[in-house]
Formats: sequence, structure tokens, C-alpha cells
Amino acid sequence: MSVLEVSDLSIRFGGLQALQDVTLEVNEFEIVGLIGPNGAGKTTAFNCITGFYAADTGRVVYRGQDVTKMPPHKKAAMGFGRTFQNVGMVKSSTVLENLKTAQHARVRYDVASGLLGGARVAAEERVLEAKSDAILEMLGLTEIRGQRVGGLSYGTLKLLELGCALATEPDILLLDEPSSGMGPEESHELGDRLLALRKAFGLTMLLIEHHVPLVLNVCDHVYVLNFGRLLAEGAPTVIQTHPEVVAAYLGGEAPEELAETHETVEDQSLDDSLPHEEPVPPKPPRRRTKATPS
Amino acid sequence: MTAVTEENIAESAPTVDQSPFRLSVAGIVARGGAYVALATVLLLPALTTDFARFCSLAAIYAMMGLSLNIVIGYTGQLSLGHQGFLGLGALVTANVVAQLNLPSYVGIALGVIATTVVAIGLGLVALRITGLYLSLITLVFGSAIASSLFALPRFTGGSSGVKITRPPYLAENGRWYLVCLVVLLVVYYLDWRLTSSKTGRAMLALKENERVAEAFGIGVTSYKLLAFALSGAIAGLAGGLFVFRSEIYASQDFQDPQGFSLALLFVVMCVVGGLGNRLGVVVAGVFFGLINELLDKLFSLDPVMSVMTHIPILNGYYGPNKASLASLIGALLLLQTLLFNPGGLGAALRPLSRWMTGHRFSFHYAGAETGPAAVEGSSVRA
Repeated sequence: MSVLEVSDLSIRFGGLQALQDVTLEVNEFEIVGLIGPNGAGKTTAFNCITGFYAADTGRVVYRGQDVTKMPPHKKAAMGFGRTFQNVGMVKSSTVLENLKTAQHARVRYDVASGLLGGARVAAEERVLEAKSDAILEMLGLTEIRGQRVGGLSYGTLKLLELGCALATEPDILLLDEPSSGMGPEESHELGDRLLALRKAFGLTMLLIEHHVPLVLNVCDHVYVLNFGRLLAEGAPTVIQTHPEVVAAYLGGEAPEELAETHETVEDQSLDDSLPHEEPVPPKPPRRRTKATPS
Repeated sequence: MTAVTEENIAESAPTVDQSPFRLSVAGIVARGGAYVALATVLLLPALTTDFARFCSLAAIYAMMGLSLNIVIGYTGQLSLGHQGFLGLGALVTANVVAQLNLPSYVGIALGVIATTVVAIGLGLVALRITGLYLSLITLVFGSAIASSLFALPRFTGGSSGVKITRPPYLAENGRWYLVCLVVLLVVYYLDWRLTSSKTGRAMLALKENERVAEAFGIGVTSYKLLAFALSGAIAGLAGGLFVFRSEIYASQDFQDPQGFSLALLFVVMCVVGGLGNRLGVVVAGVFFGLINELLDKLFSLDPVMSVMTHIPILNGYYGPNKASLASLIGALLLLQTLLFNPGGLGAALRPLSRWMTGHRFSFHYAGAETGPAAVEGSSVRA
């Protein structure tokens, strides 16, 4: 059974047709890649699927239920976990607090009993904390548990964001460029991690990714977007050599670059020539305070 | 004073102690002594008559600080109309008690309900408008309610005001101070619960990034409304206590310009205390609640007065102008906070409050660089 079925999704921003009749399907236990050059509409598609944008036309069906018009927080509670291209976390809070915040929809006590406090709330808070600790341990991030998110390196942030998405107890995970800011070595590790997570939690995933080896390694099926339209779909190895896809990435007018890409495709991101998100530099230390080494 | 002890000890939970630290017997005794001293300082004004009146005002200001802190500190919306809530709570309480002859607690409860409803109305606006324009709308709300509802003689009793009396067993100022103190402690406890439950986490998340909050399954709409509702309820409660403190609803208290300077004072209080920092905001509220009285006491000392009357510049601030001296001090404190100490009083008091809650005394601890609002404190999203 398909977990997610997106049919004829279209959205227009003023004069720009950001998505045009995009149809895709994600089956149970599958890892599906969504690739395409910058500006192709990948993140827009994510935002439409998760409810952040209201699509002009089209339907989003989750396990047989039409969720096209459902607001994002309800989708999150249903089992849509997502990460953001430029890291979505509460930067002024600690790592632990972020993981607890991410479990918001799983908290069973209501607002009033949370305000009054008591043994039941305290017990549940401890459960949230234990779950957060388990996730941190799984990702090997236990030592940064008490640190503020704002001061972490970009690679750690991306990993931690994945942890936060897992903390929402998703059924389907939508990852927006999980390997950005990571080197080849790290993104290889990430691929293994994603496969392990799928196995451990029975997850279904849809991921936007530029890093070709990662896509080849983990994806069962790939959709290629270009200028808001689906350009191609199929197995990753087929897509890799698809002439239209190669042309879309390189603009079809740079033969020498084409040759180069073919040589180095195993360890080079396809759009490395395009501007990347700069990693977030750590905040400078505040006046009159010293960082305490822990 | 057990309430203070328990909540403060429990407050140590969210921050992670890197090194294991067990309290020694001496440490427990020292901290116990500190709590006894704190309780004594808080309870002593109950024995006085005139001073208790000012201390009641200090407790009410501290509650207003906590109320505004929920909106500014936790959800990041600047409200410039909070005196409207205080006044509305006072007005409804006074009228219910004086005109309907209902008991005082009913009056206060209805005041709380009325302000909560109005605050939710303002919250509905905040769902659509944020930042600078929302601040503008709260400002307009404050001045609109001041020139409409607070100007109707039917409710304000004209120039003579609406007179009410406290129940006989609370007639003494000291007793009423105790009521204000207990209510403040309850609000403080609820505020602590707010930040250590899912509600506070949700508010912090939506303050920083609504999209992230939604991706975490947080209903941004309902939590924003909840923040306004809670803030309004606390302000309405403070209004009820305020009007029973003076036993009269005097219309000029909440009409502009008095009303607007109150609104500004509350914002200054929050920033000087440290946005998002409960303890700092309470301390700042107490300070600004007492400042006029403190200045009065200061000027009644002979040596101070002789200096004041002989220095031409200071001369102008003496006597009837001491209110402007108070706002000058407020302005200077605000500048000092924004330039040198963005964490506010709360960050400055943090080593002490951490020690009180059973940690090792230290000026440097994990997370010291960015206290709860040290960074955000300097950048209100407006």
C-alpha cells in the first residue's frame, strides 16, 4: 500500500509556476529521492505535502486519507516528520529541550494539568527525557545534551535535526537535504544511518538530496523535478544516466563540464558548482563570560 | 514559605549539571538560612501599615511583569497596551463589587474573566499581524480603552471614583499585602510550571520559528491565543488586587498620560528584569513598585535633602517631581541593560538563584554565555 500519494500538485507564486502537475508516490518502507537543480521546486513540493503551503490544485493522500487541506501541526501529529533545508530547531534552547519540544504531539497530559503540575506530569516529563536521551545516544550526541543549539556546528545541527524529526515519532520522514554541510565521509555515514533507521523504526522516507552517491546508496526510487515539473522517475541507476536529467543539471551547454561530472560523479555532488548554504558560524562569545569546558 | 523552596528546587531540573555535585550538610544549612532570610524579608512588610501598601503595589507590579513576560518573553510579541488589562480588571472588579454588591472574590473573578476575553480578542489580532504592527495595535488598544471605557462616568464614578472596601478581616494593609504576596507566589509557581511543561516549550518554539513549531506538531494558533489569555488573566487578577489595595477605582489611574506611562513602565520592567526570566522580572517589578516610596524615604533624610536643595540640577527633581526622577532612573536602567547586560537582572542574579536551587556557586556554568534570554533579550522582535 502506498503511504503517500501526491497527485497533480500545482502551485503558483505570482508569475512563477512553482509546481505543475507533480505526481508522486511513496510506498511503505521505501526511501524515495526527490532531486533536481536549485529552484526546481523540491522544497516547495515538501511544503505543499506537509501543509505549509496550500496547493492551488492537486491532492495529498496519506494512507488512504485525503490530507491536502490539513494544517502542518496536525500532519505532524499524524506521523509526518520533516526537516528543513536551513535547519529547523529552537536555537536558544538546549539540545535536550529541543528533543522534548519535538515530542509535543506525543505528550498526553493537557495544558491545564501541565500548569498545575503533579506526579503524573513529572512522570511523563521523565519519559520524554528518557526518549530524548535514547535518541541522542543512538546518534552519538549524548555529550552535547545540555548545550545550546545555537552554538553547534552545522553538521551536528543537521544530525540533531534528524533526531528531532525522529522524536516526533514519524511514520513518514521528509528530509530536506539531510547531507548539506557534510563531507563525503559524513554523508556516507548518513546513508548507512538512514538505512538503519528505516529498519529500526519501520520508516518510510522521502528525501531531497543533491549528493549523488547518497541517493544511489539509499534510494529505491527517484523523482526528478525541473522548473516545477516532473522530468523523470525511476530507479536511481537509470536516472543517473538519463540524458534529460543530465542536461537539466548542466543546462545542456557545458560539454567539458559534462565530461568532468561523469568522471567524478561517485564523490561529487551534482550541483557543487552552484552556491550552497553557508554553514552557520558559531556565535562569538559574549562579553565578560567564559565558556566552561565540560 | 514552602512554596518558594519547592518550586525553586525543582527549577534546577532543566539545566544540566555536567559535574556531579551533592549538597553537604553545611550547604543545606546555608541554603536553608538563605530561604529563611528571604521569607523574613517577604513577610516583614505585613507588620507595617503604610509600607505594606507600597509592598502590595510592588507585588502587583511583579505580577504585571510576569503577565507581560508571557507575551514578550515567551512568545516574542511586544505589547504596549498592558495597562489596559490592568485597568479593565480593576474597573470590572470595582463595579461588580460597588454596583452589584457582590463579594470581593466574585468581583476579582469576573475581572479576570473579562480581561481574559479581551486578551483573547487581542490575541486573535496577533494571529494575523506580528512584530511592529502588532505593537502598534496593542498601543492603540491601550489608548482606545483608556479614552472609551475608562472615561465613562457610569463605570468610573466620575471624579470621585468608585469606592469599595475590603472584607473586614482583610481591612489592614498588612493583611492585604499577604494576599498579594500569596497570589504573586501562586502566579510565580504557574509561570514556572508553564516553562517546564509542554506549553512553555511550545511558546518558545513558536517565538523562534513558527514553521519549526508546526513541524513539531505544535498548534501555533492555539498556543498564541493561550499566551494572550494567560497574560490577560494574570493582568486582570493584578487589576483586582490593585483596586482593592487602594479601595477606590480612580479613573485618572488608567487614563492617558498616566496609563501610557504605566504601559511603558511594564515593558521597561520586563527588559530590565530580563526577557523570559521570571525571577528577574519579579525583582524588577518589585523595584519599580517601590521606587517612589524609596525616593520619598531618601528625600526625607536630612543630609540627602540638604544636598538636593543645594545642587541646582537635582533640585528640580525633588518633591513633586520625584515621579520624573523615577522614570529617569527607569530610562537609565533600560539603557544600562541593553548596552551592557542584555540578560537583565535575571542573568545577573543567576549565580545566586542557581546556588539557592542546590547547585555549586559559580559565575561560570554550562550555558552561562546564553542565559534563557541573554541573546534574545537584546532583540525584541518588533
